[in-house]
Amino acid sequence: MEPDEKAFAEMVRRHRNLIWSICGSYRLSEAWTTEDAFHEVLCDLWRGFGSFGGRSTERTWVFRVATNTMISLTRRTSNRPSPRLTESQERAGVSDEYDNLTELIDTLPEPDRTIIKAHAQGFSYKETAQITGLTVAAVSVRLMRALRKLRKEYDK
Amino acid sequence: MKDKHDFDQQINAFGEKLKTTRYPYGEAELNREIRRAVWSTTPSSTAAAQKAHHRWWPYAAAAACVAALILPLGRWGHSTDGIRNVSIDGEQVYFACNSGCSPEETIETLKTLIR
Repeated sequence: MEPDEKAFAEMVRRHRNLIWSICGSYRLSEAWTTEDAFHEVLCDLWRGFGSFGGRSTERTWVFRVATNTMISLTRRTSNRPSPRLTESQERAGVSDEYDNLTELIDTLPEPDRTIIKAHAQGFSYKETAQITGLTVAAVSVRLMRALRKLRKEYDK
Repeated sequence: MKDKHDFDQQINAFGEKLKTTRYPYGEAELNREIRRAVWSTTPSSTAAAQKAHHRWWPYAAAAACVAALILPLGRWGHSTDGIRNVSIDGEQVYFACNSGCSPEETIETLKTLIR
């Protein structure tokens, strides 16, 4: 294994749970499993691995790349949400109990959806700003609005 | 109307669920996935595959030979009828020809010169 590959493999091992959780939190068409999405994310991470300059933390960079891959994959593969959860999505932790909330979050436009997911994963405003390319102030305002919108829909 | 704290609890539970989600497979599967991703996106492997598929160098070598043979013909000075093209091994080869010969005659000439 080349040195770069070894470092890459170490990085993937450190963030495998985060990557898997991001893959499982998007609704893809039935033809796509979380495993397929995981592979796509690893490919994109490897493509960008050499250019990761350390301007953000590794975890933030992984989240950004994985999220961008999933957004692109969702656009490419699915015009309609999956009517039921696949086995792999259930393994990924998306259970019926949170189904409504996941569906509601999926209705949010980008970058609000990413902001909500980053917030839920515990990223700070500054880290979320690095992920989305927005300012910290814009992240803060968008998060408040997105949460308000979600709450309104949830309470209906 | 749902309980006003219900939403906050759900959001928190959603975050907890995301944070506590674990990759469900073992080290061996993960290593295999990593190798598969690296192999399928490494430019050198793609380039090697393309190079093996598109063997362009025999045509370039043939074109260089033809050019080397045509240039002296041109210098011998015959009639001037410009650019010709002939088919060698299914490839169209374009060259400057001043000999006034037909393509068939030119090929025969080239073959004689090569021999």
